[in-house]
Amino acid sequence: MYTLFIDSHSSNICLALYNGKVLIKKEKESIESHSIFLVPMLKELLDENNISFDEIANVVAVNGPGSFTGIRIGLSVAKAICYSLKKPIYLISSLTSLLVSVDSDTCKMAVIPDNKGFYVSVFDENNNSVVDERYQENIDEFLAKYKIVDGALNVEKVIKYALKQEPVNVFKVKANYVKVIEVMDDKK
Amino acid sequence: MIKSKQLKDYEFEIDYFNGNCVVGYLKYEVTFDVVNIVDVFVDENFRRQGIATELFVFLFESVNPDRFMLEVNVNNFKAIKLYEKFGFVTIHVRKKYYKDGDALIMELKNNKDVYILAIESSCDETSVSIVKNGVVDVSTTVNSQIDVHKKYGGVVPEVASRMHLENITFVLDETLSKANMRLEDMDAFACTYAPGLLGSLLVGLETTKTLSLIYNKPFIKVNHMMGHIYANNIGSNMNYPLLALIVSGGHTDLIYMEDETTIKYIGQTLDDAVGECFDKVARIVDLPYPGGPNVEKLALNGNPTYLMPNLLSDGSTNFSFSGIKSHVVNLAHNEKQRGNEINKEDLCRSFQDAVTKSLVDKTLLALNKTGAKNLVMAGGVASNSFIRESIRKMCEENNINFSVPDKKYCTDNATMISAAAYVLYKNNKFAGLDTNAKSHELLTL
Repeated sequence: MYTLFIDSHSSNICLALYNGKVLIKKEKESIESHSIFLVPMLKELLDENNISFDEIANVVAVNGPGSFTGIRIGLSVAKAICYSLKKPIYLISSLTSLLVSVDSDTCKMAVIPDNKGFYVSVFDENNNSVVDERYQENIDEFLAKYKIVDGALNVEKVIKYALKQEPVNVFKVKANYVKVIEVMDDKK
Repeated sequence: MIKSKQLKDYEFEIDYFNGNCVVGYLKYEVTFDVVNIVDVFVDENFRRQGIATELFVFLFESVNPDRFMLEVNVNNFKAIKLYEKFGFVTIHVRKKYYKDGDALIMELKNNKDVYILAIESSCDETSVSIVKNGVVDVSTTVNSQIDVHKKYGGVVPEVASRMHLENITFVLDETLSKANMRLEDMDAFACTYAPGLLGSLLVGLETTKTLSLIYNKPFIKVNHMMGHIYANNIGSNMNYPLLALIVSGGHTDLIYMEDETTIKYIGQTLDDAVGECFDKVARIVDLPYPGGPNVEKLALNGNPTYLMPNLLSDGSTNFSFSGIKSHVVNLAHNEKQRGNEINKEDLCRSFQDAVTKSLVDKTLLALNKTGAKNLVMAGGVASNSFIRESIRKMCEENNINFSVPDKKYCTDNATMISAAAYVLYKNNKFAGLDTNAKSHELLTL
């Protein structure tokens, strides 16, 4: 049985199947075209490896932060699969996925920039949170203190980490936007 | 003994055994909802024993497609007779296909019911519906975000998209449980892919494509406006040729349809859509979102006392509503400057009368131009009783056969998307899994 991994929070769509031993990965650069590529990529990934939906045990989906639309595309697909096949769904933050991809002796920081600021999160060497996920326009205070991870994804490590967490009720799957958009900001 | 085996993904063989020996077989391929019979064979020594008939009966019991197809040599009288006995009819002749003659393409339509599950998420309604044969609403759920967007005075695209993602599974699940059906019972999956808010459309689109992939059933993309027109098919079939008047928050179109697959634009709005104009007027007189129904309510108790400009009367079948919108804005502003109170009821009534007159006049003009004797009305604004009844009256006076959907099928819903998808399904118009959402698109089929 396989874990299906779906990450669409950035311009690199990453899908993977993992059975505890073998990792089969499919990646594609996509500029605002995730909708064109993601489902066909999933079909190819299954077909090329002769794997059917029956062989999917669970889904690990990256739920952001990142591109709002990108995240929603991946999560729509993940929800449809887990709802219809009644499989557990595990969510992992995009920042956490970058952090757990790297082993470090010291604290490590993941940064995802957008047009106005940065999503940031810091873990210690045992993957305990040091700075909770947040969105800030200026992150100089953290840059002075922590080393940024290189941003490469180790899908195997990410899946293993995610599967250790609790699965989420498929009806309650939410995107991890982090950033509060202006109209929804009750403080303003 | 008869046994079936799978040869490839889509290829199967039914074998007839005499002891351990296969003395007859039937090979077939399954592609979506068509079963193509590739080869039927019975050993010479075992013919005239009804083995072919048994193979066919076994086939009919093991698959339930839309139709069966096969190809046969025109000189093979015995085989043709057998196929005709089962109800196969010749639909095409391939000239000189065989050395000694033509090939007949024969088809057997399987009169099974077609269930299509459709998703609509183009604006602020998440809706899922299952429709049988394009006319029977088996089960529909509509989750409206009106209460959320009321706070902002209109639909905020990012908020709408977020809510679609959170609601979609609930709405899907409720629709299936109300229908007491499973996803595997569906014959196709459809959704709105254009026009609308991109972020919102994508939630429904990705969900639908994924379901289509999982259950290996056709995926059908539906233009939202096509859906509005086909809302008129729910419960009873439309008559052609027809003129369609689409009035909504995003569109004011007159479309001529010779039959169910030909579409010709007769007129469009040159600027604002009629529903958008209603919403703007509502804002001017401080009515909450959604403005249209609230303007209608106030107009009910008003008199047409305010002078309104003549709406585009250029002899064309196009509309224009930006002029009247500016007029209402200026009127309200001027009265305010003078310290006069506006009579909101009268203003709404005057506005609604003027807009309705334009819709009635232009529609009549288009009916005369096209010679259509059937008019269907569709779109969110078609739920406005005053407009509905005015158009109905005009049709009665002119001997036009008029149809307008129930109010619940006028506003955005997935029932109409499924009804439209059925037409595409019948015409084998399926879409690829690489289909993207589009914010704007003219109506096509």
